Amino acid sequence: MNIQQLIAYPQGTTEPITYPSGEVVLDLFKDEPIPLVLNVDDFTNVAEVDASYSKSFEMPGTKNNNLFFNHIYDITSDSNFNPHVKTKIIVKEGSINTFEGYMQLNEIIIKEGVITYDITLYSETVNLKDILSERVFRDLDFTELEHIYNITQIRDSWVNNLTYNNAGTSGFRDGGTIKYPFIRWNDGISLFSTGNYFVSNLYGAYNVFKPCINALYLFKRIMSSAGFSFTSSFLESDRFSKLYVDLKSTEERDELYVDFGVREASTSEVYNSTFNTLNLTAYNNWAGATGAQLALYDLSTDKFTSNLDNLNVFYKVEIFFSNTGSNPAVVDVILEFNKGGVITTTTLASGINVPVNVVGVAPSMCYIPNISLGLLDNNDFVEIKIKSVGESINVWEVIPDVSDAPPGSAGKTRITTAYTYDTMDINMLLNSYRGDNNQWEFIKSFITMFKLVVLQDDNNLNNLIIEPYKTWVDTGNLINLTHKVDIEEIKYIPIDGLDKTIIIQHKPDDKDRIISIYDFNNIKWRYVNNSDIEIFDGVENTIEVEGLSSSFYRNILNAGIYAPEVINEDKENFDNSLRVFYDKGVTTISGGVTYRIGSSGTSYTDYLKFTPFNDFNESYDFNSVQYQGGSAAILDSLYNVYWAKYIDELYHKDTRIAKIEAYLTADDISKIKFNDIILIKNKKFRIHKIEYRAGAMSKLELITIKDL
Amino acid sequence: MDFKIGQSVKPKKIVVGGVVIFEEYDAAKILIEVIPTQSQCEIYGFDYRDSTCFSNIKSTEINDYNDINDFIIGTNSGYFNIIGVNNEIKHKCFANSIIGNNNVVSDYTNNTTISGTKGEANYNNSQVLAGNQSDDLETRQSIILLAGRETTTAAWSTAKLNNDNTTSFKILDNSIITFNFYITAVRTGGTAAGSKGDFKSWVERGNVVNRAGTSTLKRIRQNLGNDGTTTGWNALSAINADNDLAISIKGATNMDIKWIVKLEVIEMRTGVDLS
Repeated sequence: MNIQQLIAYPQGTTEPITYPSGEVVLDLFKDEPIPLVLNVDDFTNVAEVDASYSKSFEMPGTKNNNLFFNHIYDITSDSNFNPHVKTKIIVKEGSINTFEGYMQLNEIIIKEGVITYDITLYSETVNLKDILSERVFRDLDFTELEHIYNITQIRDSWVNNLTYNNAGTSGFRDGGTIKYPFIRWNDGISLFSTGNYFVSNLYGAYNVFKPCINALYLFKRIMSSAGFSFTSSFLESDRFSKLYVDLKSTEERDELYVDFGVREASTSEVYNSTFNTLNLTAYNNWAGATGAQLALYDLSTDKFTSNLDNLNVFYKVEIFFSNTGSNPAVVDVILEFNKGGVITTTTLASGINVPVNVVGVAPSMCYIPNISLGLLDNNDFVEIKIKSVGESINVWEVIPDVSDAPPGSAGKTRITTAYTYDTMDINMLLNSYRGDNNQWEFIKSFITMFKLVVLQDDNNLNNLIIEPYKTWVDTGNLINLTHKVDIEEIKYIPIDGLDKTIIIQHKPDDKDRIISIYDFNNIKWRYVNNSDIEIFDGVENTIEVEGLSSSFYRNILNAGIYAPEVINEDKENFDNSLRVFYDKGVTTISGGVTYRIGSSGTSYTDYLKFTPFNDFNESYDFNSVQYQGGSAAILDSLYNVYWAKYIDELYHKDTRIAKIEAYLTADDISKIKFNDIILIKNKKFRIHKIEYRAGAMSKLELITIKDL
Repeated sequence: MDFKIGQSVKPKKIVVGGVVIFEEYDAAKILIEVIPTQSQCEIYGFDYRDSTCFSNIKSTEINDYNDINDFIIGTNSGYFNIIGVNNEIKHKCFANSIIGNNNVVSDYTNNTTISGTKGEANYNNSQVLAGNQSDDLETRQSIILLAGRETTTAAWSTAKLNNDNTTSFKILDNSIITFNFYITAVRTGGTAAGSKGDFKSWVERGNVVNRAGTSTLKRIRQNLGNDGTTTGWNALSAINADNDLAISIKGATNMDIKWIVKLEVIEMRTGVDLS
């Protein structure tokens, strides 16, 4: 028999481990093997997914061990071993790793001068939970997801073609990571009976088109940030990869829509044969100005300077030239754009003939109603410059006869600026309450929804295998342990700890109108399994997907737009709990209804449809539900697809726990997978739990299932 | 969905009407649709009726006025209840109820009930029955209203709608109405001869046509009876200068009289110049 070794790595050792990494073989009490409890899924505990660990055990305070723990037993010393930091370990027998994970120092016992360390070993899946339980969405850097928010982008997102402001950094992002489906988030939409079209008020689009993020992307980002990768045919399948969760905030886009300003000219400024900046002296609000006024045009320097990144700026230029000299002048007007310190020049007008002023004759002018400057970053600036050859000139503040002004002009020399901050930045994506969503709660929610099992990859400690229980269980090998077990004593125990009734549900979002008024969770969405058992531990047990809620899906305003609705009793935005939707793709509205963003503009006939069911006629609610627009209820609910088989087996009268002892070697442990079927004297068992004791009889808990 | 332990059949899908279709493996291990037995149906939690397995799943349709209707709500309107489609509650309206389609509650109108199609409620506390399946808005409708007044003299005065001292029923241009006024007056005080509780009732009937702004009234009255001293009490329909249908009433000197009038009106707006 090979000796069992506990190999520990110095705290702070990073993955992947490269040898040598300063690892230390810790000393163990020679007659006490490490009591490993190997487990993947606690079959008898409906609510929990389990993981392997060791029972607590003691290690001697040998010189070797004391050095590794840096004499932490000495309370007068300043040990650099931190009991609150995980210590990576491997349990090894010969060349076989029987357990990999981390060690937790529970206590140091000093009895009559003899030091012992009480420790527990945990698997990496436990580690994952510990890491993520402390993290929220806001801890993820979403800079790579920042993008401009406009109608074009909204529609591009529908076909996985969203353009982002910054280069991707995670390796997980694509054009469909953020999408803007049609969801009724408030009462800011109406269906006009005389026009047969939707109108969305306010800043329009944000009433219905709010960002949703791909669940798989978020899953990967969370796992990656915790130092894990995963392999999962299920998560990569359309059933999961087309799921999205909302990143909605209650903040409205129109609050970020800012400023119109008009600056009027100085008539005394002289422009000669070198380019000089157009000098404006007065500031007037445009009558229709909305939002906060940002004084970004500096009248002392005549520069428009951005004070943040991604400011979308538009210019309207109106300059009326006044030549009070004796010779005609030829005038050029340019726009200088300083972006990141690099100056580019755009000619707005050149060779404008400016004759000597004649009373009653319209002055020459430079009139450009709409110049899109694009996105200015912080401290970028623009300025207008004028050069006059042949005669020095001035500009009119107001031309003598306004009737000479061009159409649309007020007959004043001025620059009108309009700028919007239309970037969907990380503050909008993760501001307020959505940024507070717990990362483990998010992962755990999907584990519960699809009854996933999470296993360590034997070939890569930091890679997890994640699959639904129903597709994983019983899919391993047939392992015959007949010759290894003590068949003299097999104890069969009926499953105990069962509850008479099991309720499985998403978190009821109590503020949602469909819950508070119509009680949809209780009457539609949740699944209630009433068993016929008469001896039970609990009357009722509710298993809840704590991080996700169901959403009402309906024919919005009866207009042929089938979409989710998430509103409160006042039909307004609220701090809704996270919602999950399936991307059904772009859909044409039935019945000829169109919609507009605002009171005018393009009428659209299509939208991105998100649904609580997928293309495989499966729903993401636990109960079977007949959704609006469907001809019948969807049989394949979350419960029926992912939970029914498990519950049926758990509650079946013939299901038993079989307790048996077997002499297992490290080689056995390394080969046995928890989805293997164990064969003992031609009877098949499923593995429930293994208490492995190196060099001794291990305790096995097996499950007998009828029809296994 | 998977087979339950010990079962050779399992549900395959739910179809229209809630019928659950089952399936089983045939000899070639291919799933084929089968009709379940009662026990097979019930073991999966479904209901077995008339030799058919039904799911007990209800649809997610809800009786939700806000969404089975298409409507526009004006600013500051509230407390409405609508069942139907394409109805419109306009500006500053409160506590209105609509059953039907394409109906309109006009600005500043409260506490109305409209049933039918393409009706228009213009008066507080009114009941509108609209019958315009293929007509334009409010072509044909009937309206029920109440009016009231208190009198203490023998002068003619007008009972106003809802006793608000302001509103009368307007005869719209190029419309025709037929009306029934049920009028009751009861004495509640005063020093003149007679007693509290003296009363008199009438039915005033007639019709009015408005020809491009000029209304013509035809009317008759039936005295339904009286009790006590009611000398001089009278009621009469009339058209005033604004084409309002007035309910003129007259009591007696030193008699405190309360008046109630129920107006039943059928109205047809022709949309044609009737002059």
